[in-house]
Amino acid sequence: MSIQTEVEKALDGLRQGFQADGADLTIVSATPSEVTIQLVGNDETCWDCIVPADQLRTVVESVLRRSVSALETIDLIDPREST
Amino acid sequence: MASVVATSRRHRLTCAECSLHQYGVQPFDMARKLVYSRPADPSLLDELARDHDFVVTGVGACGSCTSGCVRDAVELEARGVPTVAIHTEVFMNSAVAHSAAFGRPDLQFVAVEHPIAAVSDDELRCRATALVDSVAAILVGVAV
Repeated sequence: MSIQTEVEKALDGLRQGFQADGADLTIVSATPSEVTIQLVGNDETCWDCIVPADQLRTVVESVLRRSVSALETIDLIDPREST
Repeated sequence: MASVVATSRRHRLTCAECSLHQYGVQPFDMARKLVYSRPADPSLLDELARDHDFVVTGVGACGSCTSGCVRDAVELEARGVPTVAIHTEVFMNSAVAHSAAFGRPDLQFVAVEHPIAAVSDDELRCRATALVDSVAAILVGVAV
């Protein structure tokens, strides 16, 4: 199983909730040791409904580290942190 | 005494219906927190843990309120009070992920049909009443 597939599988369970709020988690890049995830949304996204940024980072890291143990670096791009 | 932590009148309605009247549980309190995406104020959590035999938190019906509900449950369990968190179905995976991320992977949750924002109070009561046995089973340690 490729690292991309492993990460996708790990995130699948979480994505349903993000999609219900009009957002999603996408994989920007993935190597055996490093992955970059991005929170994406659009004009119809309920941004206040999304898990707060600091807690989102904790949860995504927890899910990925439990499921893809070889990962050393997990980056999360959250557009809320740049505004 | 039982208690409910909720973020709105409708969420309190759902939780209150789950507060086990049919099991003879009384009295019960309802507590409201104003910031739904964060854990309740520590003083409220301390008070709930001190004065109540169990707590029901809810309702996680979006990502941020799910996060807040789970973290309330984690904090209350850490204080020694049995707690059940209610979430809509689509946020159950998020609830499980939160409980693991914040150190309580053993927490159990009860799911209610999603969404709840646009349903009538009668329908909400109906859905909530259907949850009572599941809430009770978790509180008394029966597998659900």
